[in-house]
Amino acid sequence: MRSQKLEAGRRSEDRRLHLLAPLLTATLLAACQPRLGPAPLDAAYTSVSLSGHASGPGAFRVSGLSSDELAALRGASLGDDDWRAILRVNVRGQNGPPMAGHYTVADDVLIFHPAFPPDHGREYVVRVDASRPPLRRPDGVFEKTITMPAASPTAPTVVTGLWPAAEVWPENLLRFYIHFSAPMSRTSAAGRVRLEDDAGNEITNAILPMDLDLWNRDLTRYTVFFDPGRVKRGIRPNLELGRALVAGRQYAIVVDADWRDGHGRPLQAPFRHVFTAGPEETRAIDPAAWRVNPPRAGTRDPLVVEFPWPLDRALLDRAMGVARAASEERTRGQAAIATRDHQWRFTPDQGWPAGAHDLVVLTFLEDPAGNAVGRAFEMDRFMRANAPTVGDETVKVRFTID
Amino acid sequence: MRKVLSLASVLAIVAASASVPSASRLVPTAVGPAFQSIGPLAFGPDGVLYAGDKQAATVFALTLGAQGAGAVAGTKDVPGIDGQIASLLGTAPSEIAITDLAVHPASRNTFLSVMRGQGTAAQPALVRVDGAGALALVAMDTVTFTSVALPNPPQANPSARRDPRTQSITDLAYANGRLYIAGLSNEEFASKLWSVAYPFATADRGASVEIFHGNHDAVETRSPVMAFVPHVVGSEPHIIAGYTCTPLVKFPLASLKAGEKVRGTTIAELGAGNQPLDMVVYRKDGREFLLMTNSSRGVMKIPTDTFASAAPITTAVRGTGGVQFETVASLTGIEQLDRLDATRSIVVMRGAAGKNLQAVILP
Repeated sequence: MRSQKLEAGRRSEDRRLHLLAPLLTATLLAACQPRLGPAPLDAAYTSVSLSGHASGPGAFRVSGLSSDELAALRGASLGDDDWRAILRVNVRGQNGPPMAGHYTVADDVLIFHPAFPPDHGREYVVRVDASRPPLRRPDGVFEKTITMPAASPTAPTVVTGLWPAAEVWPENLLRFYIHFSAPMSRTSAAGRVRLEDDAGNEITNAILPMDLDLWNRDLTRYTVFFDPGRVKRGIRPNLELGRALVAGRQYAIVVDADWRDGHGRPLQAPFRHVFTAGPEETRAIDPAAWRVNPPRAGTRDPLVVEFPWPLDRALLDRAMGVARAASEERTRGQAAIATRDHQWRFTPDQGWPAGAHDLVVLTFLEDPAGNAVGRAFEMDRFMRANAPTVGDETVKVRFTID
Repeated sequence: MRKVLSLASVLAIVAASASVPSASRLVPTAVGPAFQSIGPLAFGPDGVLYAGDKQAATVFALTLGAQGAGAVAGTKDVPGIDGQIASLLGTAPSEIAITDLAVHPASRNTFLSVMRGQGTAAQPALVRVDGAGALALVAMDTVTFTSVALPNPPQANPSARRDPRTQSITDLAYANGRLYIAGLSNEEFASKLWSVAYPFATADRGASVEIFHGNHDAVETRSPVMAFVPHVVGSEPHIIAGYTCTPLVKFPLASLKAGEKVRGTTIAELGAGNQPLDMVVYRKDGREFLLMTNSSRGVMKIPTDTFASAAPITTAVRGTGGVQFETVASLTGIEQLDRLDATRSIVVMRGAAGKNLQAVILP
C-alpha cells in the first residue's frame, strides 16, 4: 500500500517535472554545483500538499537529503515499518504509534503526508533516521519539534436560548431544544443538562439518559427528551416517581459550562432557563380546529395559521406546507413561526392565485408534549398505535383565496 | 456492536430466507467510501463490515480485503487505547471519541470506529488492532464498498427547510441476508427500525417499521431502541431489543414489514434511569446468555433459555421484573463490547488513566 502511494506520488511529481522541464533544466544548469557532502537535515510543515490539493492536510517535508539519497529512497522497496523507521512524526509528549500517513519522494525533499491535518497549536516531533537503509548515514538521526500555529481566536460559545422559549411549560413536556451561538463538539447532553427545582436541587431521572448524537447538522442545536415513562400517566416510572414537573411550581433547566464547543473549549458560562410548569397538554393536534387566515389573491401576503396552543418549532418547519387544491405540487415559499410558536406564517415566492388551496399537514407534527396530529401522547395506547397510520400521512385543511 | 447470529442460527434462518435481489438491481461497488461520520459497526459473517454514518443517514458495507487482518490474528489488550489511537491520528486523547468496536469474524482483529476532532471539523477514522496490539489506520481509499441511504424524512414544504432533520443510528446488525438499523431522529420522537436486504439493491431504500414494547399496562411511550441483537427464540428468528429505561423486548424478524407498526413482547424490565449500550449472545457451560452493557446499571447477564416461554409483561412493574438476570459486579465502566471468541469478549473499559481495550472472560 505504501509503495503504491509512493509510486502515485512520484508519478504526480514526474508530471509536474515534465511540465516544468525547460525551466528546471535552466535553473539546474545555473545552480548546480558539486555537493561536497550531505547537507544538514531539516524539517518543516507545509500547509499545502505537494499533490496539488490546496485543501489537503499538508505535509511534513524533510530537506537536506542528497540527490543520491533521494534516488535511493525512490528505488527502494520499503514497507510501512521501513518508512516509519526513516521518518516518523509523533505528537510531542505522547508515547504511542507515529501518525498514520504515507510517504512520497520529490526532487529535493522526502515528504510525509499525514492522514489527518495536524491540530492548531499542537507540537509535533519529526524524527529522521538517515542511518537506516537505504540511506546509511553514519550520524543520521535528526529530530525537530514543529509547533502548529494556534487557531485564530473566536468568541466563546454561549447558549442562546431554548425552544420552547416560553416561561410556562406544560407539566407533561416531552422535548426541548438547546441553541448555541456556534458549532459545538459532538458530545451528548448526558450529564451536562439537568432539571432543578425552585430550591436549586437537581431532579434526577427527569431527562432521558441517552448518550446520543441528537445534534442538528451544524451542531448548533441539541434535542433533549424528558423521560417519556415519567411523562406518561399510569406506567411504571410515572407510578414510581411521578412526573418530573408539577403544575404551578418553578423549575430551571441548567446547562453546564463544561460542555465543550467545536474548538474543545467550555462554554463561556452556564445557562439557566427558569420556567413555571403549567397544566398538562393532552389534546391531539387537530388541524381542523386551527384558524386559517387566507391572504388576498394576487398578493404575496403571508398565509397566517393560528394554533390554540404552541407546537414544536422544528417539526413545524417541515410538517407544514401549502398546495393548490387537487394538486400534488406544493407552493414554494418561506415559512416563519411567530407569537411564541402559536402561529405559522407562509409567504409564497409568487403571488397567490385565486381559488381553493390546501394547508398540507404531515401527521408526525407534534407539540412539545409529544401530542401528534390525531394522536395524543397520553392516549397513545398500543391498540390505537396499531391503527394503520404511518408517519408521512397527510391531513389537508381546505381554504379559499379570493 | 456486532450482532451476528451464531453459525447454527444463521443456517437455521437461511433455510427460510427470502430471495436475494437479482444481480442487475444491485448497487454497484465503488472504491473509497466518503464517510461524514462513523459508528456503529457490525460485521457480517463473511467479513463485510457494516458501518453507520449518522451524519449522512447512510450505512456503508465495506469489503476490507487485506486490511481485514493485521500481521497477527486475534486482539491483544491495549491499555490506554484512546491515547494510542490519538497518537496514531496525530492528536490528543481528548480529541478522540470511540464510537463503536467490532471483531472481524475471521482475523479476530478488533476494529474501532473513531471520530477525530471536535465540532463540524471532526473526521471519521477506522482503526484496526491486531493480535500483537499493533494499531493501524484503515486506508479508506482502497476499500471497496456499497452503501444505502436511510429514507429521507418527509417534508411538506421543500423550499422552506433550512435545518434538515438528522437521524441518529443507535445500533445495527446483520441477520438472514438483511441489515437491521435502529435509530432516533433529533425531532419527532418515535422508535424506528429499518431493514434492508444485503447485497444492497438500487430499488431498496430500506423498510421502516415502528416497533413498540407492549408493556406498561398497554401504554406505549415510543421510547427508542438503543441496542439489539438477532437471536433465534425457540425456532424462530427474533430481534432482542433493549430500550431506554430499560425494557427488554423480543420481535419476530418475520413481523418486521415495511410501513407496519409492530408490537414486541416485553420479557424483562431491567430498571429505570438507564440506557442499554451493547449486547452479545454467547454460550457457557451448556447454557446460552445475553450479555448487555448499560450506561448506569453495569453489565447484565441474562439466560436466554426462558425467552421463548417468558410471560409477557403487560402490567406496570415496580423496579425490575420478567426474565431473571444478574449484574456482573466484576465488569464496570464498560463503554463498548463485542464478542472476541467463544469464551471472551473484547471491551473498551474506562480506567484510571484513560480507556483500555481489554479481553475479558465471558461471565
